Amino acid sequence: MELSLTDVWRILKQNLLLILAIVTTTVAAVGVTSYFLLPPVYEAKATLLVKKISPDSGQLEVDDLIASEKLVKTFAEIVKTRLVLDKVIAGLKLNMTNDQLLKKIRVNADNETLITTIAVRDKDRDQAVTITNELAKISLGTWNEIMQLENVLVIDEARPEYTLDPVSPRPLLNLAVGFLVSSVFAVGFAVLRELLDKTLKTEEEMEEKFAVPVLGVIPQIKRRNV
Amino acid sequence: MVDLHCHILPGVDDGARDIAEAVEMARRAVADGITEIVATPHTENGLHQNRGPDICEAVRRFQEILDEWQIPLVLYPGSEVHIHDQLVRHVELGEVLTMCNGRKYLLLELPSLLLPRYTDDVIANLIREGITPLIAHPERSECLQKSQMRLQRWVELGARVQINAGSLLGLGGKRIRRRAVRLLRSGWVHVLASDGHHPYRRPPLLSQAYQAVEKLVSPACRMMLEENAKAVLHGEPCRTIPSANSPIKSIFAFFHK
Amino acid sequence: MRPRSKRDLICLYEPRSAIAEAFRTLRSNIQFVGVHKKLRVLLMTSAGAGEGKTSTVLNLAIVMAQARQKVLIIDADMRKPQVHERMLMPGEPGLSNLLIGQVEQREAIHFAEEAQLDVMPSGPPPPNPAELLNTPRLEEVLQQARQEYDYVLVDSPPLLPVTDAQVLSRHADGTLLVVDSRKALEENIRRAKSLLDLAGANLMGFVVNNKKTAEKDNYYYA
Repeated sequence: MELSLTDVWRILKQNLLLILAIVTTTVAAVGVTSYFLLPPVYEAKATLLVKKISPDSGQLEVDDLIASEKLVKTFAEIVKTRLVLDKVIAGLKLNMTNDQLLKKIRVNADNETLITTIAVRDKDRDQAVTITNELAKISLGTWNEIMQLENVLVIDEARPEYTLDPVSPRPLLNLAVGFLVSSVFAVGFAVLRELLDKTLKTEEEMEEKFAVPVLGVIPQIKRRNV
Repeated sequence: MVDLHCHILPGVDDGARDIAEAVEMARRAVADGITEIVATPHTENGLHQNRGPDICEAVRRFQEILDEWQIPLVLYPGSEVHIHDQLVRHVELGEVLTMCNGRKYLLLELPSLLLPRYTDDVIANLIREGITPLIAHPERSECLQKSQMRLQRWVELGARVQINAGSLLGLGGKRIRRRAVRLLRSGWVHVLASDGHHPYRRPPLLSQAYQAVEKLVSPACRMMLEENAKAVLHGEPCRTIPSANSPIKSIFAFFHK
Repeated sequence: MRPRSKRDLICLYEPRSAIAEAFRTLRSNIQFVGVHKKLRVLLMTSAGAGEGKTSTVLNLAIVMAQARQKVLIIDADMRKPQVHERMLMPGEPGLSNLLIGQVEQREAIHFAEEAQLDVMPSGPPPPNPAELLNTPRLEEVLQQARQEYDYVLVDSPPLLPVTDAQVLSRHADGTLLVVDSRKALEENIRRAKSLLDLAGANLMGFVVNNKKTAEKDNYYYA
């Protein structure tokens, strides 16, 4: 069945109330959830530097750089090992499993630089900070032990002052998405309903489809009439 | 003020039932500022015949009564004829009266839900015979509201449009009022009339509606409508009200089709 | 009169109503459309049941009679006859008696005083309505009616469930399909129309019933 642009416009107008209802309820629900129901989640960050120690000359060579890259990446992986996580949990007496802690952690090893960022998300701001710093400390220590090197430093440690705003939820984003999705859905629903509606609505339609004239139109008997 | 559409003649249709009611209607009309009324009983609508000569006689008699009571109202004969396929012939035979019995305009009533298949033909034929159809209260017609193009076409051919004072004031409901206002603002209305049937329930009054026109459109529009009513009474051409729609509304109306 | 009757025969009891005006327009259109071809015997049927055939027949007949036409209503719905009930008239003798030769034509016709028209009720329901309608007797009955009346309006069962209406449509001068505007399914109308085409009927037009309107009734009557 074909649907022209004027048809779509007509469907929109006829179902305006329905569409508005769907969109406003969705947006309202999203708004309430985002502002009141979802708990804020904070993210604390610590930045570390992985140095390449070259015992020989002070000049960097290409091999050195490539090697540095691998070191940074390796360090990033070390942070996420069970070895480190267990120690963090034990050290802070955290009430969570390895996997739960792992989910909160994001380690970012920047390819271009020697910088590694450890970020931890938690509903409790202070806990996010504490875990981050502990994680940095333990992984640093573990690395030094294993690699027999002392080439990782903490540049920035996590602090509460730097973790003021929650990173989640993002109400405005949620509202926008909610609005768009519900609009699309509502319009689609209205159009679909129209397409599936097989009743003939007007005399013009009947005359067109069957080439037979409409000779009479009798109105509904309204109760008041009689 | 001139009222071109009024069922004031007693006992001939569903308007004034007896002389007392008719006189009361006349009094209220005069108090409202109306000086001349064209009595337009329903004609040939399947319920009331109201042949031409009978209407003229009834008008003469009622005018005498009005004069006796010293009610300063001048009455003219006319009819509100329901469209049928022999209409043109009946007008020629004098069975159906044009406004003021012989002048150019014919008050034409159309059924609300479905227009008979000969409607376009009859209107075209009337115009060809030199009679200008004055379409009565199209804002009350369901099918004309769905297809305004038809009304426009008739106006372009030469027909004219009358809307009811009561419709504009919301006495027929919000939808009808909206339609009446839309017609008015789009410039498809030529005259206002009362379609009075009863002193209080469907009164023969015009001034409130004219005030509404001033507010809804402009005082200039009101003046044009009043002058048009006089022109129709005398069988002269009426002016077209310019469309009062702002450009934005016109664009919206375009999509509204 | 019982309340039900008043509502059904609204053209008789409320001649100023919007419904009565609508029926007068229908009458006007029928007269206009049939003026050259002398369409006298008109069959009213519909695709399904409950679309308003019978009340359309009754009210149309009433407005035709009001226009001083000589009108006969034939209730050819011998399965669920409603005409005599709604008009508060005897149900027999009627069409079924007439078709089996039990009575003469004038015996099967009763005069409705208030509506000023003649009614031929369906008579006692026969076991084989479709077959009964298929006899040459029916054509004789209609032919005689054509001579005596301006219009003969025939009520019938719906088209889709049984074949009665199809049979009748062959004999009628014109057929009108009554469609309830609230449940006008394209598919059903299409099937109804093809049944009529197969029967060689003259489908004159549609009558749209139960149309929703905007008007506030207590202020404006027709």
